[in-house]
Amino acid sequence: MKNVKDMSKTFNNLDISGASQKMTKNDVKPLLIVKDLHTYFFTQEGIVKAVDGVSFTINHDEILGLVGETGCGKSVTALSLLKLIRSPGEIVSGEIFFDGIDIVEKTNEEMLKLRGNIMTMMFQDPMNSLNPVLKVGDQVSEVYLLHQMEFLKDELQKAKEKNSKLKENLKRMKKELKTCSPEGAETLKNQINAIKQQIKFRITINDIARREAAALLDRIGLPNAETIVNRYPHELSGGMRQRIMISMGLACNAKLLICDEPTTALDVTIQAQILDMIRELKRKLKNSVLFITHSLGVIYELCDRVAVMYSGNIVEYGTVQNIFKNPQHPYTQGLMTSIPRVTRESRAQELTIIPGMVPNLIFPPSGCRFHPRCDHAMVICKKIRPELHEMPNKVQVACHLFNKDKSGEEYRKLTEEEKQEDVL
Amino acid sequence: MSHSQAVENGEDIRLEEEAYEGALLTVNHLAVDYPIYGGIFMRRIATVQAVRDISFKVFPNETLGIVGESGCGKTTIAKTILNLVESSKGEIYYKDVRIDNLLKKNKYVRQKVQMVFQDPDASLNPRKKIVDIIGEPLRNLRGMRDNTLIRRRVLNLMLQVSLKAEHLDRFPHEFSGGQKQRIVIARALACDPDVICLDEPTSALDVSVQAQILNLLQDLQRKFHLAFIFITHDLSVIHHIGHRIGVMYLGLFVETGTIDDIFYNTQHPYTRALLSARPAVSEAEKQKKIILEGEIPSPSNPPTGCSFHPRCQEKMLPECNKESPHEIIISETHHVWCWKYN
Repeated sequence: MKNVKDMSKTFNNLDISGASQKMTKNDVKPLLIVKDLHTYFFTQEGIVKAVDGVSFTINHDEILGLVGETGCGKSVTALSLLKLIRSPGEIVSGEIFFDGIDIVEKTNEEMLKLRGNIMTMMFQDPMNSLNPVLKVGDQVSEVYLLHQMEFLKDELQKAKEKNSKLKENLKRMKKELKTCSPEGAETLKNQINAIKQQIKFRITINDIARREAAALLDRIGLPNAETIVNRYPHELSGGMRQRIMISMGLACNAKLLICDEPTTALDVTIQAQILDMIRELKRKLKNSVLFITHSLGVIYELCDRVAVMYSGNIVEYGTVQNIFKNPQHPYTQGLMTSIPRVTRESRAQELTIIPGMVPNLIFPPSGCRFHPRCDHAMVICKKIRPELHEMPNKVQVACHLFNKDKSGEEYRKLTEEEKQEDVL
Repeated sequence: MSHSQAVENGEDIRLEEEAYEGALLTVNHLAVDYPIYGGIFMRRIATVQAVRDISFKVFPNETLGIVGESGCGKTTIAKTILNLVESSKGEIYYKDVRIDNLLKKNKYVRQKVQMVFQDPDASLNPRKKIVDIIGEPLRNLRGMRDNTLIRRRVLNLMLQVSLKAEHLDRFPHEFSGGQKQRIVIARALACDPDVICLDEPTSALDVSVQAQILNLLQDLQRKFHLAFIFITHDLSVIHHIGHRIGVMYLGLFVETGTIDDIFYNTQHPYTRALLSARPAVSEAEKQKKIILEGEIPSPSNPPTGCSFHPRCQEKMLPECNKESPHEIIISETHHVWCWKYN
């Protein structure tokens, strides 16, 4: 991994609006702080409150999992972090601090420098994220050309120096050839031919970038990286494409890698390979990962901490061990019981399900958004939205069930009809 | 009341019928080739051997799981059973009628063997109402013409899959993924089938919706004594819903057996790797990971000998790369294809 060290040096040389000075000081602080983020989409039917008050942090050298069903706002959260929300969407309020940089305040031009450089994203479908008419090598080297120009120029200088040295050697040898004996001439000729092959007529910055791309693919563990850089995306399998996407994310040694369901389209065996690779790379590069998925199994295997999202809110947030051992929020409990387990005892039982469907985000239910599907719904659930509270086992849960004083009319259980009142 | 009358009144005739005891579907030495055309004259230049030699039986009240990675030929088996793809070798029997060439003409067998496809979005015509979508097999295969009767029967089917009466006149885009899958299942049930091929019915769904669909399928099986051929790559799903499993690799079974055989007495190295690759959700399920190198080889040019040998992590025997392994019988239900047990 020598090359990666070199890259991190060049990375520190880059001036990203004074961020590099803060970076060393803030080691103890979390890498990413998201506070009360609201991202709405202003559509003709109404305002879609896709992300409605989400707060979390990602520490250095940590994998945070973001898990939830389709349409709960996982991907929108990730896109908000990179300010990739397009019209009619908008970050309405909230704060995003990445290593001391205020992301929300940044203009689009400034974001272009940050994206792909210090924070980067991998999308679900590698076929749609790779350009089908460009060779894979060109697409990976593009990242270097955009973000690592300094590093490439240095390398180009080095390569040119090496080339001119070779040329000098060649001249010297040719002179020697005229004067030396016939026996020595034979070996000298062979040497000259060998050098001639190494000398390049011209070296451009694109060549260097492509060379770096091949080296990167090699580090990622793709066999025959030199031949793969000359292939087109359709010639590669799903697993290979996903590896290319990961390598593009890692090209600039990004501090934060956002993975949006990177293994959903893959087979279990390939998924195991990719997860293993992400784990291994994280260990080597010491970067942080935000891993978005709907598979609880993947979260359990890979992540350190997890945030469970439901309908634009985080309902439970804590370490993976604590949440999986003892889920507190009724929604998390429902998710856990709806996974078919592979144990002898579990086979005979029917799966317990969460009744109903994910609510419409234009007219979400009042109060706690989960209350129409919740078995424990109370009167207060309909009126007040619960905040995240820390539980004894350090897990944060947003649910009124854990309020201290639970007496009075507010805590009467809702009937089925009352629950369904504001469901559309 | 005769059967046809009962059907026309929108009732289920199955409850009166006695359950058939023997194998509903028998597949013998099935092989399917896809030709590859190329060159200037578009001649046949190669063949993809999608399915090479597959035999199995399915009984009523039973779910046969077919598990494997993408590209191993799982879906091709289901398509061949329904005669959507032509087989190049082998026989398929429904009860004791050979159906591999019959299915296109014979509407009766068409009614008895049905399929649910992977992507519910792609299996529903966006321009048709739900009543027309579910009613289509009734018109085409049963020859029903009376709109009110069809409507009554469709409503009955929709209630079976927990859809509501007000959904009858809606269009597919108005439904969520789980509801669409329910519609597809209702359409498959329309003509009282005996066998339903389910091709990854839950892989496009969220876990909570998947649980709903799995419970629904189990209920339907109990009620109508259906036989399911359940194609999936998710082992925990098949562990929950299945009775017997066939693990496929590159067009061949590598191990077949009951759930207990496959999950708790695993023999073949590929099955072991597949089981360990499944992400666990609790400490009890966690296993030591066997991470297979590389990917499934191309079926147009399968490796010599045992097709799994280039990725196999167990001790190689001299036969492994020379000859394909024979079927080894471990117990009455448990069969494995591996040289290790010879």
